[in-house]
Amino acid sequence: MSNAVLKVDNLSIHFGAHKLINNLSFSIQSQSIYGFLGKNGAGKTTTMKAILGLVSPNNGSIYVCGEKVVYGQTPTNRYIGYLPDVPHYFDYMNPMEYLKLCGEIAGVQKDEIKARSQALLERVGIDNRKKSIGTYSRGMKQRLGIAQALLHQPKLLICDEPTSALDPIGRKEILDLLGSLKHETTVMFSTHILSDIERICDHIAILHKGEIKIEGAISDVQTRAPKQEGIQLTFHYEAEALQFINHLEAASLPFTKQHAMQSVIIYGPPALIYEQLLPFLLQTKLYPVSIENLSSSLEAIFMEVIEQ
Amino acid sequence: MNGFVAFFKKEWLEAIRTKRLFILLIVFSILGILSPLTALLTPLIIEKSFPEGVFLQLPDPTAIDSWASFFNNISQMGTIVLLLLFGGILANDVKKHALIPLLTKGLSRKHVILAKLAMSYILWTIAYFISFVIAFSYTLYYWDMSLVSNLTLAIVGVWLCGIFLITLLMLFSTLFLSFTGALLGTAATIGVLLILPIVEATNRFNPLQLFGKATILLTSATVTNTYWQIGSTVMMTLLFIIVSIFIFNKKQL
Repeated sequence: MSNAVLKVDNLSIHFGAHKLINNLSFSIQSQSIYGFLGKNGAGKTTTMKAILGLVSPNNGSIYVCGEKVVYGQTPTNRYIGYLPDVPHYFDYMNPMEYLKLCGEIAGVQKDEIKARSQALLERVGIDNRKKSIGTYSRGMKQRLGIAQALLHQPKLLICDEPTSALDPIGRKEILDLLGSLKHETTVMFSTHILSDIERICDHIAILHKGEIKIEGAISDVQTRAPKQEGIQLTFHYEAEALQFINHLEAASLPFTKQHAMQSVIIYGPPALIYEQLLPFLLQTKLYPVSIENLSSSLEAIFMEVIEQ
Repeated sequence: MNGFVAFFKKEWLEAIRTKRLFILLIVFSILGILSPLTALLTPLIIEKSFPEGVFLQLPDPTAIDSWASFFNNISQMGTIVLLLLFGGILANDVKKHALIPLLTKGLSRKHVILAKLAMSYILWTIAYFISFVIAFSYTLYYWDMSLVSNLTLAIVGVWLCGIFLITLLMLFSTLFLSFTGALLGTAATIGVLLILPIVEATNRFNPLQLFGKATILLTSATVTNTYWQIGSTVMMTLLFIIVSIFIFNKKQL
């Protein structure tokens, strides 16, 4: 389509015999917020790095604003703002100095740099502009990361797991910030947290083992799977989830279930499940971090995809 | 060019804020003071270390001794400090992934290498110059400088050798992207260059001879070999710069 900001065409990236990315194709339309969902190791970061020309693809091509991405020094990067998963800076600089460096490199006019830096720092909520970045918390570094990524007013903002290292409040702030960009730029962000996607995205791709399993507008994707009743238990560790499943199987409780990472979904009428499950949990002494009713079919879809 | 200037300014800020400039100035000032001082005090120290009654006839120190001590200090202590201070210059930025946001904004990798080299050269030049001015002033004050010939050539040769070592360090930094790798690679190369004089024909092209033979140069009538060494050092330095850029361009960061 003509207003695609990003177009990825049959992208394949191998590392030796290991296929990191396999025949990936998708496109992102202008001014959408595109969620890139997948487990750790699904290929999210590799895809993003390929879009930035930091990784050389074995096959396929990528276009940003209609221009082809080339490995190494790609001119298409002038359209892109990038926030790495754990952004690192030069600790001895303060945020204004860092943004000045970024602005000068990106070729932004001198007086523009100052005005934009101040506006952006205000927007991302960084007040103390004289403090050196080395003293910043993770959340503040992430916010500064968004400011530096937006400084040259990119057409596409790529954020690699912007929320994964943050506490719930920090996460909410970053998501609100990304959500507020909807009419200014196009956002592509990766995550393994489903609720992040549901909160702000209008489009989604679920990536698993280097392949896109499901892609499209969230509303379309949700209607693709019939809404199922059930509950989701999330444990602290994946080992606990596995232990729980083993107990469940040993007790031969009559539920259909799915498991992915720390979460287990049990299908059926919630009332019936609670009745049998709560005593069972007490008995096994496995205490989940959360128990919730299935709120959306996305969870079920995600589980189904990554269970394959 | 935008990128080079911006990154060069970043390097300058880094040299100041991480105290790299400060340490260099202190160490090289001390080396500058120490050189004439060692020449001045060595006979006294030797005399004192012998039991009383033993008569020693030691020649009085001259300006040549002062410069010999200066070149010794710079080529040993100076080199070690240089390697330690500049060894992590690329690795630090690469390891912390701090370059990625800048590279994706259009900063070229070539400019990263060139700005880092330019700043290192400047820091070395400032430190070496201060050290030289101190040593020169003291030597001039205590001794007769008329004995000394080819001083400019010797001083320039040692400076150039420093430039060569910094470039060598950058070459191994791009190759290994680590502090240890850069240091070991450079140390190994220095080792080879130190053994190489076994084959006399290589001396003409050996940059380290600019360090090693600086003192001899001060009383020597022939300087042809030094010109050869300067020529080959310049060529090798230029070659290493090009190769470093080439390697860094190919590295997946």
